[in-house]
Amino acid sequence: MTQEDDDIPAHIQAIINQAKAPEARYEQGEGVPALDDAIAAWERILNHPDFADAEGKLRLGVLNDSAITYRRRYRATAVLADLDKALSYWEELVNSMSRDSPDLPDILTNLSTGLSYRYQRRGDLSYLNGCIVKALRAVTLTPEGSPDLPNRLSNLGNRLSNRYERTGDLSDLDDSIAAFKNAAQFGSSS
Amino acid sequence: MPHSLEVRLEVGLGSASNWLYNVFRREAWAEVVQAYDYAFKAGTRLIQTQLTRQHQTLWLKESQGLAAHTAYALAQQNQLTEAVVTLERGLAQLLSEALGRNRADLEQLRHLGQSDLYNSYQQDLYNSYQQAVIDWHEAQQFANRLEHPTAEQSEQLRHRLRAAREQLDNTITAIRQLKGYADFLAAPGFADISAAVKNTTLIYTILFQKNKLVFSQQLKQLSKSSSPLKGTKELSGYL
Repeated sequence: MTQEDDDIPAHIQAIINQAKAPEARYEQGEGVPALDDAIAAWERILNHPDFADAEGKLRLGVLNDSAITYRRRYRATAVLADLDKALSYWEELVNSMSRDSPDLPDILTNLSTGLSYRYQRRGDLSYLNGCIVKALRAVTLTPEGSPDLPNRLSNLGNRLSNRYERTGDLSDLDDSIAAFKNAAQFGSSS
Repeated sequence: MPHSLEVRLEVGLGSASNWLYNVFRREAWAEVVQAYDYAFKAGTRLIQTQLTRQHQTLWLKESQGLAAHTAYALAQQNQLTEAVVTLERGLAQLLSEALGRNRADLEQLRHLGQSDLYNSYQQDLYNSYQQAVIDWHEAQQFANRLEHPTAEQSEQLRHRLRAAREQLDNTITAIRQLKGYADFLAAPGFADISAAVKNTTLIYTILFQKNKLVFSQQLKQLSKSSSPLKGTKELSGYL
């Protein structure tokens, strides 16, 4: 999500740019120090007095993008505190967004993916259950014609498959089949 | 029936693959074949739209094994001809040599078109193919830029993709009518396979964790046998 908006104060936008630049360096292969720089910049915004009352796109963009950076660093370093930080930001957003916000399915999908990492790490079924609930809600809130629907259906199918493999519950296998089938029909030639 | 967008072909292929493997676990053989149809079409479209790109093999690798599972499902339903065709088509789709040959055919078309005025039609076809692929990718980029598409934008996207798909299909059809291009991006049929085999017997063996299935093809006569898998030694004896 981008925060490039005329309403964003210039000094906050400048720090956002300081976070985005090392992210771009990381994508070009610079490694974890680039993510450290990005997170340091995100933290400067999150702790900035002018951000405390921020709302709308600015709050959404900063929390979501900083969560993505934390999740990236978790993937690179396996430090669980980073993943938990990302999850807490996404939880905060989900709890504060209105049900009809068009951004809600994206945030739910990110939260679901984050919970799946938590499950992979600890094997605690409650994380996988939470992950499936969020993924299902993201699918339910996605309009039928949206190009994002196949991806979200596929995500749901994968998590249901994971739970089938864990518990052997055939209803999960059947639900995952339905999700994959819909994703294939939306996303491929027919 | 939901609308098909063809905008997330990799996701479509991945989803069809997962659908296939999960219904295979359920031994729902007819649905395995249905899922493969989606996977094959998505794979074909990916090849058509990425033919001139070198880095296209990741999803190709991921789709390995689909044809074998589907051939097994078809054989379980005694559709042996279809099983042979599915296996061979699946192999042909995955062979880098086949991709390379199609890529070379396309390049040859361009060079022929550049050589003289008589062959400008070939140049037109080459340009038409390239333009259809460009239109396709631009429509996909348009989709990526849409954060929350309206119904109107979704319809616009569908229209652009449909137009690019029709141009691509029409151009491929026209290229196949050129001398020497009949098999350009074409999947082999049973007649092609039989002609290639001639009087030789081909034995197809599909191995899975619990079972093996063997069927042979000699001209147009097909037979099948299956048994629990016990080990390669026994399998060698069987063959």
